[in-house]
Amino acid sequence: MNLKKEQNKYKVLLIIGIFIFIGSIVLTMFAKLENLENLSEISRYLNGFASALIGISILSLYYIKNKPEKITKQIIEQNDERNISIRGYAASVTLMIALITTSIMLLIFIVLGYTISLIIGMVLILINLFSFMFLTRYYSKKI
Amino acid sequence: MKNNLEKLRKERGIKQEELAEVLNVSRQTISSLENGRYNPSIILSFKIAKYFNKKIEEIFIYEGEEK
Repeated sequence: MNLKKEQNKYKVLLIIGIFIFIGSIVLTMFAKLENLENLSEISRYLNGFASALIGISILSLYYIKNKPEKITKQIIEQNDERNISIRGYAASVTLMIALITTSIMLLIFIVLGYTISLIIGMVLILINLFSFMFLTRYYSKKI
Repeated sequence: MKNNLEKLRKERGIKQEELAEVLNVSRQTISSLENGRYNPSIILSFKIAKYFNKKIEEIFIYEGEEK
């Protein structure tokens, strides 16, 4: 069924992971040669990210090949319409909770006089609200 | 919305897991459908009707707005 598609997806992720890994090694060598500490730190992050990507991809490809029934069950669980509906409800309630808790946090920042934290918090709330408005418009046109 | 899913499934002598596998949904979805906690999409309704070789209205009974 969708196993071939999943296999191709993880193959692509594996290739991307290998490319990022090689890139991070080249970057590390360059940073050492030029003595650039910031670049060295970025390359370490990239290295970690690539390793995680490679690990997940290899593990998933192993499961697809040796335990396809487990992956099939996982795909069914992911695409199950009731589960999609549950995730949708949970996400919308989580958004409301996040907005309320962030607003409470902003009130605390006002009382404490933390101006920079207050501005960052307000920007985050605005990003959430604009994302919500944009996605509502997007899906109302799509569905 | 009421339905005859459990009755039809038992008549066929299949387990919830088996029906779930045929319909490409989770076992929990079949359980929720049978208990009337979840109303299926039109696509799933058609799949169920096709599987049992019945019309949708023979399986799902609409009784007006739910309170």
